[in-house]
Amino acid sequence: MAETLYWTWWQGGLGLAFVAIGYHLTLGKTFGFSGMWERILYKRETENLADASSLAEDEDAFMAAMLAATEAAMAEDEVAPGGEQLTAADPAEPAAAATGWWSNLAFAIAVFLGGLAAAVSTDAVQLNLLPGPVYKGFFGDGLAALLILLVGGVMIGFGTRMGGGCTSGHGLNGCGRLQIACMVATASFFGAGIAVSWMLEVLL
Amino acid sequence: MIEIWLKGFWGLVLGFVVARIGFVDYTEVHNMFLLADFRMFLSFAFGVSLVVVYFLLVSNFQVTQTSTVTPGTIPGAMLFGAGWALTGGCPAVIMLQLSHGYMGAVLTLVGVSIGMIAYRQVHGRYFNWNAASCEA
Repeated sequence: MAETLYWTWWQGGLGLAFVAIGYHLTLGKTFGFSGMWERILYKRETENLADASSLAEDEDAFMAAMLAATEAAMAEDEVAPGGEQLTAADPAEPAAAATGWWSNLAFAIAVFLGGLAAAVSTDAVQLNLLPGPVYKGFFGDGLAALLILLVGGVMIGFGTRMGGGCTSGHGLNGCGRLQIACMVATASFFGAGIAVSWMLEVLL
Repeated sequence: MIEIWLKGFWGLVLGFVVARIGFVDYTEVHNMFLLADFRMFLSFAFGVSLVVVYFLLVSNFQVTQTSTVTPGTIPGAMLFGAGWALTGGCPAVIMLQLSHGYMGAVLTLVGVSIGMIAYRQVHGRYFNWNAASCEA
C-alpha cells in the first residue's frame, strides 16, 4: 500500500542526500531545522550574532563594539529593576545581519511550500484538524487530542534544544559528518520514538 | 541576498522530499517506530550513508569531532523522540503537516516555540554545561 503512495527507500535516500549535499556545496555549512526555528524566535539575538561575526573580522571595530556594548550594559544596570530599560539606539543594521534572520524564515516557509507542492501533486490537500485516523484512535478527537499536540510540541521544542538538534541537524547532517554526539542523539530519539509508539500501541 | 534564495531553494526541496518519503503521514511514522515498516528507516539510512560518503570525500577522510556530547544530549533527544512519536512531527515535519492541511499542527508549532523558550530559561539557571548544537 505504502509503496504506491510514497517514494521507495532508495528514492527517498537519494532525495535526502541531494538536499544535505547540495546545501553544503552551495552554502558551505549544514542545516538543522530546530536550530533555525530557534533563531527565528530570537530575532534580535540572531542579528547581534551576525553583527558580531562580521565585526570579528575587523579587530578595531570589534573592540569598539565591545566597549559600546559594555557601556550600554552598565547604563542598563543603572535603571531601576523592573523599570523601562534604556537601550542604546540601534545602529543601522548591516545587510548581512538582516539576511541571516530572513534566510532562516525563508527556509521554514520554503519547507512548507515544498510540502504543499508534494500535497498538491499527489492530491493530498485536505483540511483536517488532527493527523489521521491512527492518531484519533489513540487520543480521540476531543480536547485531549489537541492537548497532546501542544504538549508533544513542548517536548519537541525543549528536547531538541536540550539535545542540541533534531532529525535534520543531528540525524541527516550530523550522522553524515560522523559526529559521535549526533549519532548518540539520533539513537536516543529513534529509541524513545520506538518505545513511546509501542507504549501507545499496547496501552491505548 | 543570495543566501535567502539558496536557503529558500533547499527548503523547498527538503519539504517536497520529506513529504514524498511519507514523514508527514502519522500512520507511516507510527509504523516506522513500531518497526512494522522499514521503508522510511531505510530511506533515512541510505540518505545518511550517501552524506557520509560526501563528507568523507570533501574532508579528505579526516573526521573532526565538532559536536560534543553534553549531559543534555541523551535526555533531550529522548524527550524529542517521545514528542515526535506522540504528535507525528519532528520540527520540519510540522511545517509539512500544516501544508497537508492538518491544522492541529499549529498547536504543535506553538508548543515547540514554548518549549524552546522554556529551555532557554531553564538552561541558564540550572544546567552548568555549555549548550551544544549539531550545526556546522
